[in-house]
Amino acid sequence: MKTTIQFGPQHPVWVEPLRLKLTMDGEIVKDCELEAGFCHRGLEKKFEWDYNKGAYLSERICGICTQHHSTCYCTAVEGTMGLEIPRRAAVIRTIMLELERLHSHLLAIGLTLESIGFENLFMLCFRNREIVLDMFERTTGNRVLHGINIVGGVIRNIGPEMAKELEDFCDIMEKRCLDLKDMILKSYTIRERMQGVGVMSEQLARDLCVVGPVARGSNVPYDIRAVAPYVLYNEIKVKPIVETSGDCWARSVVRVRELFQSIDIIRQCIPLLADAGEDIFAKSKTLPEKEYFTRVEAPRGELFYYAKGKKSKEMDRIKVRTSTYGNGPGFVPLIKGSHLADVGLITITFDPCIGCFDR
Amino acid sequence: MLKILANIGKNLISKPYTSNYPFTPYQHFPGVRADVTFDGTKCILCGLCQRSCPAECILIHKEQEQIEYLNTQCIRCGYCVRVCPTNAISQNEVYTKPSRQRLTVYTKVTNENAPVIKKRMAAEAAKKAAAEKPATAGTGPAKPAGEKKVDEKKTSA
Repeated sequence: MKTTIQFGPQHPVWVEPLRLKLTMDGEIVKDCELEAGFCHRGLEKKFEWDYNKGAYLSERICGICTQHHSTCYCTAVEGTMGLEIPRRAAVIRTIMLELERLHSHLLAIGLTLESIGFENLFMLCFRNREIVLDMFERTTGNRVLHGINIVGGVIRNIGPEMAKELEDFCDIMEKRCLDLKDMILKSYTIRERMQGVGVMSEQLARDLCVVGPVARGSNVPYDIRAVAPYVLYNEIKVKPIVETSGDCWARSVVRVRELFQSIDIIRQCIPLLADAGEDIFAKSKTLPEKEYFTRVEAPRGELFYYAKGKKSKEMDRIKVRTSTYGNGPGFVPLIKGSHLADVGLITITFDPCIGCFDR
Repeated sequence: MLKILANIGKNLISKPYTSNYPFTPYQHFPGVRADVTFDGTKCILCGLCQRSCPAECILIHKEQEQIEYLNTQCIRCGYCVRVCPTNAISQNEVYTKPSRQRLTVYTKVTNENAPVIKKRMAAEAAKKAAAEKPATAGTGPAKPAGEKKVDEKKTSA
């Protein structure tokens, strides 16, 4: 006998609204229908205003990768007007991007562990994440919506004292992340629960064009920081972290390993601050009638902004393609044929951000 | 097993990780961004902050020479502080407590260099001079017309 189960829009696994209509045969999912659009806010239309205000608006698309969104927007607008940002601003942006990846991955790992019932480790993840948020408050003045990027550079400088604090932070964070890594990778229970669940083969990943840790978990070395370097990634070489198995375990392990990569990049950036000049802001020019697009590696994958200007202070068009939008088609083939108990785990390892999905 | 015992011992001795909130108040870091304050003695009522505000929480009333700041609508981005030509806006470092009121703040502008105020004072001076004139010269009906003109100019500006 076939039954239909509504998985969502209100479900404890995801905080945000997404609906899966599951056709069940006993415990096995036979068919799955994905429905999104519950929190569509029409932000792309709202972008057609003063380009200086757009940087603050772009942060509000996603609550987790705010810095990536505003950096991508600013880079796209700077591209249309042919503006080169000062080197110091580029270094500060890179540090902030990696800090944000750190806190986003800690959140994603924590939520994955919570979905399999490991609440204690979830708390530990959030305890570590709190240090990153404190560091954000220290450097930018805000915990979540930083508001540090504007078209032409950044508004807050990282002085020598702050650089010293960042170095100390890196030491503390690396120690804590090592503890976390030991706890997760050596745990027999977590491995048994996640290995072999929701396997995405390399061919399927390439066919569906999934991005970010989902692609890298399926042995597709696709990382925008390596493929098409932006801000300072021309100098700081990033090697994509890949796992071969393509299951929930691989996707989580990619995130755990990327924590150390981020800490390493921050460590490489801090000495560059000393001889980067004092300017953090270049005065923006008038907007020409040009178009430009940028790609940024957000914690969840590739983030794409298309900007088109008209000869005015207002933008003509902004198109946003977020990383969850790229990963969305990957949900359905993995859920088909899996157990009902695995549906939450499979979707949460994609780290879905429905605020990004619907915009 | 030994590791678990060591951890248990450590946790028994160590202090709690969370802070004892109502008794030990939250200590913010220097440079955090909170709401903004307007300096009425410096503001020139140019309206740049109103135009630049992404949350549209600053309203400049030029006729009343007043700034209306909607505290609960503000997103604390600090962009108005950047664009202000006379540094009349400063950002506070203490968070606003949750409130049932809207916390709208009105600031009266008293800067004499503000163009709007300059114009008003000039108009008042002209009015005063015109009022003194009839006592000496005695030309009655011309004054009210002159007064009206000034008023019209003020409202159109």
